[in-house]
Amino acid sequence: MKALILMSGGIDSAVAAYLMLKNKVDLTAIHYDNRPLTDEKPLEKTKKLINILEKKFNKKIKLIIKKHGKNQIKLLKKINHRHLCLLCRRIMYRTAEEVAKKEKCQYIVTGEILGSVASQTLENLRVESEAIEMAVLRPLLCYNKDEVIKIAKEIGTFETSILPGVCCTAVPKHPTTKANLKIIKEEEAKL
Amino acid sequence: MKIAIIGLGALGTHSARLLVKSGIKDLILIDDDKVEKSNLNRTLFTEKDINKPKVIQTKKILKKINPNIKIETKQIYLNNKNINFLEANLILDCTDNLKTRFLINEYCIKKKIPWIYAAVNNTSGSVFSIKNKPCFRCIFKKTQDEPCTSIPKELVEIISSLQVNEVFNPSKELISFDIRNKKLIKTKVKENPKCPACNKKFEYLIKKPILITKACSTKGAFEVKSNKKLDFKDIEKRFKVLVDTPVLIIIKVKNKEVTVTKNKILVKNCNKEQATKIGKIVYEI
Repeated sequence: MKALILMSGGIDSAVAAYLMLKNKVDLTAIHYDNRPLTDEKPLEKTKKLINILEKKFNKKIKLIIKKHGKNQIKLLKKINHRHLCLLCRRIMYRTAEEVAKKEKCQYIVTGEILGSVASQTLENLRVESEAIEMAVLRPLLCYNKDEVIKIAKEIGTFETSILPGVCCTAVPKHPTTKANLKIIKEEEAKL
Repeated sequence: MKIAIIGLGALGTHSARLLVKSGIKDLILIDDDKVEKSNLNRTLFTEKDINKPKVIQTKKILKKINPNIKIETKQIYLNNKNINFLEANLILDCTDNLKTRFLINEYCIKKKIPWIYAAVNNTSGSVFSIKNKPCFRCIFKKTQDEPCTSIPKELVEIISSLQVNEVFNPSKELISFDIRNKKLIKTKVKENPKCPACNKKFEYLIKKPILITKACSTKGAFEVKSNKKLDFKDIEKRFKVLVDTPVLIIIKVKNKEVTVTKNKILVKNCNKEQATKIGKIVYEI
């Protein structure tokens, strides 16, 4: 079994990767480079985190980097800002599905946690998953953030995950929390 | 003639009563407060007014004196924004602090409205009619208000009477009365050529812009916020634009990429001092 994990350089995706590896699932990682909305730090952090996991499991993890900044700018120009995170994720999922097929992965894995940020709600996750056919596994879905932090500290990824880095500067103040697939599709049609 | 009374404490209520008794038929009452028990000894308020808005209760009291008068009430604390809605032919200052007086002074210079300052402290009080120069700021420096320990109620009524007398019989001097020696002193005042208010440098009417710089939650950048609004169109004219969207723009300032949103700017790859410096350039502070 092989899965493609979406890694941001933050706390959650590193723990999600760890849990999958612990359960004997081989991983390929994909990182979305969000420059110019962020900086080079998230990519550097992702590389370091993969290094830690590789050493821990004595396994090679291939990292694929996809430029995502232009997609985000296109979204910012055309869509209702409130739906940004959702539409951004749907694009990431689609890219991930393509890459997963190429890399012969059967699953996509994310570090999403219910309610950890405003846009990560069950309703929204459903609309995100709808963008692709491949199954999305979310090993952290029902964890609390502090439980995830505890694991991150135990496995030694925490310190790297919290290194300085610019997170997305485009996040809306009040993102959609109960996405309506019909509205999201209408927004997507604007692109 | 429409007269606005700012502050409905001891001075304000007595001056309002005297104005109505003098035949003034158009008043604006301004105060954000409610009547407290401790106000009763020196104001027109009585036991039943407690916990009710001062503007409403004063209006009721004045309407009993003359039911045919027009009274507008504004339950607000005067500030540099809401003062702009104040339209009157004359303003009576019955406030209790210098900050509001400096604000009234600047507004009245801007709008060319005459106003009458009145104040009491522990043993003396003074009134001063201000019309053009010298203005309030010509004589009073920017100092802290001195706390009052107790205000003699009989002094308040004297100062109120002097203030209302200025409405009908204005003088050019600063008039002070001391209740200990019962002396009325008239002081000639000169205009100050360096007075910032007279020179239209409005420090109270136009709020000083503030900058706040702090590290963003992931510590990768510094965000700079201000009470000054950002206008994308204006920024696009002033800087090289790298990314242009309706929600955020990315510009180049001093070789650094700066993300500008409607309420803050974000500076990457720098320290706090550099971020503040760039903030000052973008916000023009």
